[in-house]
Amino acid sequence: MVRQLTLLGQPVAPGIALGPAFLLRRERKNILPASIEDGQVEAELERLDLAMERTRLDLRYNRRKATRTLGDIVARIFDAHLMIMDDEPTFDSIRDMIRSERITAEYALYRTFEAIARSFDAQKEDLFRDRAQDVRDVGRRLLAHLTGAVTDTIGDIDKPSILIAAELNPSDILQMDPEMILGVATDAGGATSHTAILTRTLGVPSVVGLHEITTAAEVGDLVVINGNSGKVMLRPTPKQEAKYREKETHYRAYQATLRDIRSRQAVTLDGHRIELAANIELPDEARRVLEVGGDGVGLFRTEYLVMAHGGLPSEDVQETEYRRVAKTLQDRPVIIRTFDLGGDKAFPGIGLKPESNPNLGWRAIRVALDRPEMMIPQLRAILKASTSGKFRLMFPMIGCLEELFAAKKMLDQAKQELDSQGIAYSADIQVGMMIEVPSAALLAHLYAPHVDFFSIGTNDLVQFTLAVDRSNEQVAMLHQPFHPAVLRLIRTTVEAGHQAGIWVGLCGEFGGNPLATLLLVGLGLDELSLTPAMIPEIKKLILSSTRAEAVAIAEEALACSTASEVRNLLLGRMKKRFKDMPIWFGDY
Amino acid sequence: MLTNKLGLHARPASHLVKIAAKFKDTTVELVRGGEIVNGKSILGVMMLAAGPGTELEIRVDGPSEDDCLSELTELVRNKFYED
Repeated sequence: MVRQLTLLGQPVAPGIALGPAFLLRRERKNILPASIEDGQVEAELERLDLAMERTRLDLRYNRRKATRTLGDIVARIFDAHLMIMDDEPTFDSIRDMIRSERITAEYALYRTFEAIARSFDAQKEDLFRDRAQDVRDVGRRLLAHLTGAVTDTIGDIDKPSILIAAELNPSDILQMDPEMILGVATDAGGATSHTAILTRTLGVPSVVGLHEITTAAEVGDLVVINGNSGKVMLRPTPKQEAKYREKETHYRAYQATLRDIRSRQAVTLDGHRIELAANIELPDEARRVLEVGGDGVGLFRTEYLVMAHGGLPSEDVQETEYRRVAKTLQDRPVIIRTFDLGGDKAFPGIGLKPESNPNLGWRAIRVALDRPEMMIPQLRAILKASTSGKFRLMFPMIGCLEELFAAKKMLDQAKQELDSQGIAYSADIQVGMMIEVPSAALLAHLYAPHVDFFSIGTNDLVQFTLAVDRSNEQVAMLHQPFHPAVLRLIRTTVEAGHQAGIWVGLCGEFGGNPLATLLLVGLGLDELSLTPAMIPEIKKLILSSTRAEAVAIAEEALACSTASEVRNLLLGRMKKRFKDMPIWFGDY
Repeated sequence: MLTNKLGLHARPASHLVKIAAKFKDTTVELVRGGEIVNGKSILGVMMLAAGPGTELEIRVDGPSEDDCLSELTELVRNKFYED
């Protein structure tokens, strides 16, 4: 009987990996009540103290490691855990429980932490509710130190393996030793989950949202992960295994050639330059941009600062974080997008009400314009930090001219305030807007005279144009950036921008899709901003083609009637033209 | 009354707990509605889930109660140095 099984998930970190499965089992069974003898109380209290000390050491080690590898913001997660370890009243009550009820340290710990976690579960605000995960994390760690082997931890991996889990949290990912973890596959998670962001940063091929990988996979199974296509193959036949090993070797060799082009700019064979920038969330990803040879940051999503900080950071904190990015990138441009909050990126404190249609609701620039007390400090922070580098500013989700004018007015206000306070900032900072609402694309010629650049946000542009919520599993496959309607809107925007003498970039996921590269170059985009991991491959494509052929492909694509036609056209052309590039292992 | 923007989440809670914990000879309690929590417990304080505009009662008892109370009040008045 053929036991081979192929699952399809969401690819979030590119690459091909083969290896034995390591199943991270999260101990979910309840710790059973267990009692101790009178004489054992002291010993039990000592066990608790020892476990607490080990846990603290553990957390401090992780915190140091996080600061080194992934930056302060992720390290703060461990600060929060260490704060919990310092909660004397809670631990005193656990000790009292052990003494008076004569129960084991495990049981007392488990009961207490679970009760606390559950009371957080019941909170209405995300900010408070998310603390439940921290509490459970610390509880698990303590239990693991108490018993020695209650849960599998990533530290248990003893040979290079493919990590398989229901879900991973940041502290798990931090423990990942890239030597030992060849790839990651999880049941849960989406493109913007912690797992996605962090595995991309670490360069480990990763596929999430597989739903049933933890039940389908068995310990020791050979697993193939295709982080480009999202395919995960379990127990491949010898023939399949050989084929994938060959692909893996080919892929590694290819990666090596990509390193050679790191310092080069993305210029076509006939001399046309495209700026290749990176989309980043964490200020610490700025380093990665340099590592992969990016020209700058085309989209710095500032919302992550809010989520990582556990709330709206003060103007000073923001200024510090923005300056850090500026200093890392020096004279490479950094485009900071003002907060795009609300909708499905909620955060408490600004009075978000449940909406029946959050994507079309009170979010992004709409929230910002209604809440100057949030927007002005951010603008001031960006302006102040602009003296440390080459910043550009961008407003999200502009749907009408009034919004653009109001936003620019707020920027003027921020500048005037700084002027009267005698605080310096870059007076010639470029100000642009995202084109993601179809009305803005259709009327781009009316906006162009008032901004220094456009950046097309294809994620939302596709959603709004095709009326598809891509987080809705039932219709997600209708979300097609290759749809001719979308391509036309891109072209309209580019033409309007160039007509007015401004540059036009693109910062949606579409920019990181190699199948789209020549098409986008041919449509006239001056800049592509994408996930850092894909920059080398896209650069290689650009370096290997001519603008003339890109323009020709774009014309052909625009003559198609459906997204499938466009994709098939491109797939056929690209595979034939660039047959040695292993990126086609993914079914783009 | 809590006047800082986001109420008592992790960061301001930790400021409060650090101050309370300094005064080892004094008990600190936070009261909200019918709930009373130990002001030296970060988890306790966070479980109060006090958003902005919440009225909290701070109760202190012990030899250093005056100093303790004045430091805590100062913290709340300064919006926990957040904004």
